[in-house]
Amino acid sequence: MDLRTRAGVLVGALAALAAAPSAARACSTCTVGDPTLTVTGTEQPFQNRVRLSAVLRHRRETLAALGTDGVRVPDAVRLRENRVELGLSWAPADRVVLAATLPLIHQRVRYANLARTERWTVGDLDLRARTVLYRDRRLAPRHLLSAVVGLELPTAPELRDPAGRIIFDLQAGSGSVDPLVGLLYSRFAGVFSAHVTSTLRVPTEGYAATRLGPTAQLSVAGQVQPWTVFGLRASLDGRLDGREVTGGARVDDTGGGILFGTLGVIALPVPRDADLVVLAQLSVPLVERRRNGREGGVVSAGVTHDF
Amino acid sequence: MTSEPRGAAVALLLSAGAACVGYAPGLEVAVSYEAAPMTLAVLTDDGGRVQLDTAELAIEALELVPCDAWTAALGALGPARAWAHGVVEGESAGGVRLDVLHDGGTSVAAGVLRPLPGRYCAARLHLERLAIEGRAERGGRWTSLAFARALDRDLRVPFDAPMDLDADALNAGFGRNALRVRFDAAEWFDGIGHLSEERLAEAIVTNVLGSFTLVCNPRAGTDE
Repeated sequence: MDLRTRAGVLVGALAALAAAPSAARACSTCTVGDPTLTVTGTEQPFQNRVRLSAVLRHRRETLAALGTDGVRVPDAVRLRENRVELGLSWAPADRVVLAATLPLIHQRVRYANLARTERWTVGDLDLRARTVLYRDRRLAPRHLLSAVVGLELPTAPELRDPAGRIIFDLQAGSGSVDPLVGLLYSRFAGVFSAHVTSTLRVPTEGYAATRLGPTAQLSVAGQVQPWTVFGLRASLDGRLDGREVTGGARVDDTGGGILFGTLGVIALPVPRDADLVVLAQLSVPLVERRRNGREGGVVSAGVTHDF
Repeated sequence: MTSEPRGAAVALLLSAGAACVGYAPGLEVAVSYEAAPMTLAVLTDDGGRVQLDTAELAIEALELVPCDAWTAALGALGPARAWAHGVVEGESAGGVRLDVLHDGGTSVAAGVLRPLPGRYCAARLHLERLAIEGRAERGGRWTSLAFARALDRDLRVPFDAPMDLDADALNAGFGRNALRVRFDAAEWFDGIGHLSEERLAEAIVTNVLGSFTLVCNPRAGTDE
């Protein structure tokens, strides 16, 4: 996808969301009748709820390289990445949320031959629609089951290494249109809340005639919020990546699985403003079975504001 | 929607498709081939003469061989496949087809290696094909000399001294190196004067395999 097409995709998606009517609500948690603080994507929808978010994530990853004589050298390529994920969501109806997320990415890469690259780029635009399939009651629901469908659009440019090669693990995006489906179950029980999210993304063919493997994600998160303005979160976030297919052939040294453990806090920095929520989290890999590299911990901090 | 989200949307649009990249080169070895200049008639070591119409050598690849024998042995046991991910930094330089008669005395570039840090003791060439056409004076008679042969052989050529490629070399400004593979095609025809037709081609191939030398020198700060 060329620059003009990518820009066009962004124009269409963001213009649609920017055209959303403003919500004449004073307090988002008051409107849903539940004081639980929620991160983007797990909020309780109500008509015309508009949410803007920005999440900063820092992560590290290393990749193995294949040297002369076929010797596999682990951790030969090192990636340090900071990304700001800008999100905008709008609920056109009581049971439907439309969301767009665009990552702005800063990467530092040290290649196996000690060459270094630093780059700023945009990632793939993530568009999602969530619809509530079941809720036990309209105000302050205790059970919420939602279906999610989405599309990841190839807005990220193709990035090449110094030798002109495309290293997929270092890309800011997949270069392909990737549909996804998922389910979200949320349980709200006073100071406790829990969210189980599962998604399956099935990429289409992207850069260099390569189709990334399907990715299944499962996240189980629990939150205890002893005070209205402050809560503690913990989650297990697992991901299974299928093997890539290049030129019709499956690539054995790709894919795998990883399980992160995450601890975090969620809070209202301005106690009288329930629409402004901040989040800080630390995720560390607990189990890693990737075939082509290792991922390090992820530090993230974000802010969400309801309008 | 208030004006802030609209402003954010504009900022996103402005950033669409942007990629700003900075790059600092790492360890590099520029590979080139250099055939000695050829004369019209080659004088062999046994007093015979060879006149060539065609002398072409195709070299498919060149890669650096680490000094660490244990590492090399592990590699021999390991998987021989390359990763489609492209994280194959110790890759070989691209193939070349050398026209010895016309390329003699000039340097033919074969690409740039971007090796992993390490100590390298040799280069491994994969010779693909040899084609010779001309005449040879053998036993006082001129006979036709013509064959084209697929070689498909790996040839290990040692360095005079190990080549150290590491972070220290990079920081000292010696990250960029030049590796010249030199050979003299006149040596290819030594000792063929009294050989039978059947053994002639194999003797020339043997001479070809022994004709290479390596010259390695750092070229810090140059754009060569």
